[in-house]
Formats: sequence, C-alpha cells, structure tokens
Amino acid sequence: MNTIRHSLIIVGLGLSVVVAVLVSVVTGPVEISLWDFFSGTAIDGTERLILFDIRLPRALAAALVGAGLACAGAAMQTLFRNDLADPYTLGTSAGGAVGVSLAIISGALLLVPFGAFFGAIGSAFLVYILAADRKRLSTGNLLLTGIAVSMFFSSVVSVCLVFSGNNMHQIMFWLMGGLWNASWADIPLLLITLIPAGILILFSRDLNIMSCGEAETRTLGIDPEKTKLLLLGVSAGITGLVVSVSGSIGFIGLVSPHIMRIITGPDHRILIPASLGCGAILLVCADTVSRTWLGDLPVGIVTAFFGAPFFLMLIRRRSDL
Amino acid sequence: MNSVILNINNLHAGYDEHDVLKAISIAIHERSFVGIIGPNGSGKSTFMQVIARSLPQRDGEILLLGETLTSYSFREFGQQVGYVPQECEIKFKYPVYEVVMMGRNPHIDRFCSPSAEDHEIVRKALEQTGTSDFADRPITALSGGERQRVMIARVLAQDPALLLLDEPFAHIDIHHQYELIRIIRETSRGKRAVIGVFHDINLAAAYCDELVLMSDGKIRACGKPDKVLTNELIQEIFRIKSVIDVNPTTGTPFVYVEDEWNLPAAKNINVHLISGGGTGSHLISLLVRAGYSLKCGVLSENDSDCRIARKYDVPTLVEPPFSLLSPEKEEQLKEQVQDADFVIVTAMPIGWGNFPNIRVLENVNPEKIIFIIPPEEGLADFTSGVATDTIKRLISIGAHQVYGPAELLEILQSVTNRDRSD
Repeated sequence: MNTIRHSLIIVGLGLSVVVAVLVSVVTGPVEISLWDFFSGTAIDGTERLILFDIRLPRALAAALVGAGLACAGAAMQTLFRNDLADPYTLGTSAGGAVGVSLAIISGALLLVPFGAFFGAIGSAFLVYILAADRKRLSTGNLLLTGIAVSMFFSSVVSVCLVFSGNNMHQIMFWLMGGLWNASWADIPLLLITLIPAGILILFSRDLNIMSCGEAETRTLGIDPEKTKLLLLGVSAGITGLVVSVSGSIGFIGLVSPHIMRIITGPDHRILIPASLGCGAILLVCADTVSRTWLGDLPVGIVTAFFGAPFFLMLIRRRSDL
Repeated sequence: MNSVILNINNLHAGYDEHDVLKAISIAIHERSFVGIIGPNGSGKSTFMQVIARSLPQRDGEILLLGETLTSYSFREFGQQVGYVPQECEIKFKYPVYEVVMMGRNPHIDRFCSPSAEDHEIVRKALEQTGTSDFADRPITALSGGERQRVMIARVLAQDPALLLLDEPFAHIDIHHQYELIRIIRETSRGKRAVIGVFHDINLAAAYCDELVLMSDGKIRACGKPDKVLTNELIQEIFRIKSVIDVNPTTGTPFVYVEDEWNLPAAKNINVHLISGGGTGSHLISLLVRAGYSLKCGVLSENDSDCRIARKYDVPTLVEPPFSLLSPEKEEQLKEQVQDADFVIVTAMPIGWGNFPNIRVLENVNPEKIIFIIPPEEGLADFTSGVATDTIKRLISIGAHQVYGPAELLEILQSVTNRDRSD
C-alpha cells in the first residue's frame, strides 16, 4: 500500500518537474507561444537560440541546483536533529563562497567548483565540531554557531573582494546567487551531484533510525559517528557543487523537506527523492518569476523573500530555542 | 550449563576523570533473565550504556559470545544485541509498522529492501506484543504504554542474543508493566539472555532468574533473588527499614518498607492484643516500634499474626493449629488481660474455637478495652451472634470502639500523657 503511494508521489513530482521546466522554457520577456514551440514552425534562429541555448540549460540548472540543495537540507535536518538546519543557515554555502572567491582572485576559474566543494565541506565540519557540545546539539547552539561561522566567512569574502581588483564584479554576482550565467557547460557538473544524492537515498534507512533517537542507533546496526560524518560530508559536497554554479541560494534546502514531510511523512526513503523533486520545482519557478517579471533579479533574493518568513514561522513553532 | 552470552571481567568505565563502574565482573548465560537493581547513582545505567556501546570502557574486558565487544562491526553488533530505552523518543510520525521494521535493519543489506521473511518476523513481533491493531497508526499518536510495547516489538523483531532493558517501565502503569515483563520473560526462554535495570525491586524479584545488586559502581551481590535480597544488604544499600516477606503469588522475596511513626516513648505501658487471621499483623509491628510492651494471644500456631509476633519477639500465648482454646490457656489469658493497661481487640473472625478470647473480657474493666471494629461493618461472627452481643454489651458499659490505628494511638497516648501529668 505504502509502495503504491510512494510511487505515485515520485511519478507525480517527476512529471511536475518536467512541466515546470517546459513552462519555464516558454516563459520570458521574449514571448514564444507554446504552440509554436511544439509545432516547430515559425521559430526563427534567434528564438531557437533563446529556447535551447539560454532558457533550457538555465531551467535544467535551476532544477538540479534546487534538487541538490533540497536533498542536502533534508539530510542535514536529520543529521543535526534540527528542523532549522539547511546548507544556508549552517554556513555551508558561506564556506563555499570563500572557496569560490579564493579561486576567482587566484585567477584559476577552473578551480571554482573545487573551491566551492572544499569550502562547503570544511565549513560544515567546522560548524559541527564547534556546535557539538559533548555530543549534544542544541538548536540555539547550532544556529548561533552557523551564524558566527557565516559572518566569519563573509568577512573573509569581503577581504577577497577588496583584493580582487578586476574580478570584483564576478564575485559580487556570484555572491548574490543567480542563474543567469548557467549554460550547457554547467549541466555535467550539476548532474554529478545526483551521485551523492543517490548515496543519501542508499542511507535513508540509517537516516530514519538516526531521526528516532541517539540511544538505539548502535544496537540497530549503525555507527552513528561514522555515518554522521560521511553523510554530512556528502550533503556539504552536494551543496558545494551546486553553489559553484548558482552562488549561494537560501531557504530552498530548508523549505522543501518541510513541505514534503507534510505529504510523505518522515520516512527518508521517500522524503529524500521527494525533496529532490520539490527543490527542483521551487527553484525553477522562482527563477522563471525573477527573470520574467522582476528584471532578472538574483534568484537568491526571491527565495529569501519567501523563505525568510517561513524560517521565522518555524522558529516561533519551536519552544526549545 | 547454558552457554555464556556475555562475559565481563574487571570492567571500569565512567565520565570525566572518575570511574563510575569499578571492577565489574559477571557472566550472563543464555536463557537467563537478569535484573539489575540498586539505588540512584549506583552505576546501573552506566553499566547498560557500556554494554550497548554508547560509552567506551576504560579498562577490563567484555566478551560477547566469546569475542571482544569492539571487534564487532556495528552491523554485527546490532544482530546480537538489542536495546529498549527508558522511553520511546521518536518525535516523527513513523507508522508503528515501520518502527518495528527498524529492528530488522542490522539484518537487511544496504542495497536490499526488507524480504518477505522480514515482514513475517515484524508481523509476529506485533502480534506477540499486542500491537498489531495499531500497526498503521503513527507512533506519535500512541500512549506511553503503547509506545513502550512498540519498542519491545522492535527489539523482538531484531531477535538479538542479548536484550538490554534500561528501566523500561519507568513511565508505564502497573497493568502494562506486568504485561510487558511477562512477554520479556518468555523471550528469555529462547536462546537468549535478557538484562534489565529495574527500580521496582519486587517486580524484578518476581520475574528475574537472577538479581545483581549494585552500589557505588560495584556489584555487591549477585544470584537468585532470595540470596540477594537480604535484610542486611537492602537496609545498608537502599537506606530503608526493610521487612522481607514472601510474595504469596510467586513465592519470591517481597520487600516491604516499614512505616515510621513518631511517637513519644511509651515504655511501661502494657498492652495486650487479641487478634487473629492476620488482622493484627500491622498493629504488632506498629505497637512494638512505638515502644509499648506488648503481649499477644491466644493465637493459633499457623496464624499469620503469630508469625509476625514471633518475628518481633512478642510474648504470645499459642495453641496448636485448628485446636480449641484450652482451659489452661484461657486462665493464663485471663491473668494477662487483667494485668494489662489496655486490651486491644481487632475485627477478627470469631467462632466457638476462639470465643474464649472474647469471654475473658467480661472480667476486665471495660474502659481498658479498645475494639478496632469499624461500626458499620460488623464482625465475621460464627457464634450465632453470641460474640457480637458480648462486644456490644462491653461497648455499652464503656469499652472504646475505633476505626483504625491512628485513633487507637490517640487513645493510648492521651492516657500516657494523663498518667505523666498525674
């Protein structure tokens, strides 16, 4: 019974992602009608270029970035046993930003993904080590540590900006978080994130057990320390890879798992795939809205606009802060 | 001899600098249900945490099925050791069925889904614990007792060689406590050992094959419940005034805690107690501890009041079981009640056999007599009303009638005080 329900959810979300991407492709300042798009008639070279070389890769990139952030968020919320955790609030994205800035000012643009990857992982572990007070992670502790680490990294980024000279606008654009630079060249890198996402799905039973309490994980066959480190590394790695393309985009990783938990329940075997879909849909929609009606405002601003009130609502609902 | 599941030698463990557990050595055999008892802070839970690998050992050796504990991967460990926490902490809405299926996790390969066999095992575990009815309900919607039953179902589905229970009944009502401990005892009959930490000594004594008494991080006694639960040890370790009796339903030791009354010393007041059928037991212990100089009788040899009187070394007039009260004993009784400052009579059943106990009261100043007989209840009178009539007459000419021990002590004390002021 559950299997059927789960399959329906996955198929439904998959179709929704496809629809969202298609709608995104035909929506924009330059109007191209759906009919023209599908019939293949009356499309001239410019329109073809807009559709297939600008909008399609951008929509796909948005989908993959959103998916990556969402599944990383879902895993982090469980690993930190905290429903306010996500790559943005924990400073993982900020760590990625430092890596990217360093790569850009050193002039090695090819190193940008690596900088983001290692920056994000380093920052995630830094927060984990600093916030873990005798193995117990309190929410207040965690968020404050996340903020402190984020602020520290922001100052490092500012220093980078000062010394960046000609590269300054590049870093600035990156920091605001946007997808206007997304091209087919970014897609292979983003597809790689599906591998660590698959690892998270493979460990979904472990995540289920870890979400049920610390005491029994060992007798249920799980090494909590090792698993935590591995999956934290995997989630931070996903974050690093996607932010190297998109810049830091907040709240997708926070919101998607929460929305999906309402529909799927807490079981990670369905929650993680569903979050992938949800994150993809949300970011594709947000990006389409921003480039069509908001003059290509960085999408990070759009997600923060809607995500921050949601975050506040979650905080108000908690009592242990 | 059953084979050894867990063998612990000279175990030390603790937090920060100091050792909580000091030189623990014990062997746990299969088919045994071992209960760990001890006061707060004695190291019981720490001991469980070390076996469950939540806390590292500092020194010594723990062998699980002959191999050191740390040589097991956590997956192998989970196949052999199951753990039931004090309380189910799950805050997410997992269906009960999925929670129980988590018990199968150490047996299922990472790349596989639960097999038909796993589902069968889970269904059985649900049935065994009576949780099948709410298999589809979210665990968060269940009561505390139901949740704990699910935790037990999970560990049964896990099917470990060693089952650890850390005060599993701390938050459960008495009905579910007994229901669950029976299920657990049954599972310990298989090729398995169960170790449980219990606060309720009597529950542990009734159901465990062996008890381990811990205090200050050490094992003070270990063995069959009647060997471990001795007055000396219990009084020293738990700092209570214990009385150890036998649980009539299981034949195992039963630890009572003596009620403590703060009474001014009542030496030199002679009290004679006429009772029977267990109606006087608590008065004997009460009056002796309050300091009255007490005598009892006449009692039948096999009466439980007689046993208690002997326990407190109270001089007692005794007749052999089921015999009539002899004229000599009646004579002795007559003398004693006349010498006594007070004669207390409980609401014992009265037949022709013990009627002389009442008859002698005719020769006593009625103001010295105190009947502890609730007025509305009446007596179990098997003398066709003769005993009841006698008692009524005595009350009408000045004998006291009270409800219970509190009122009785009031009367005794008022007299004591009056005597002193004289």
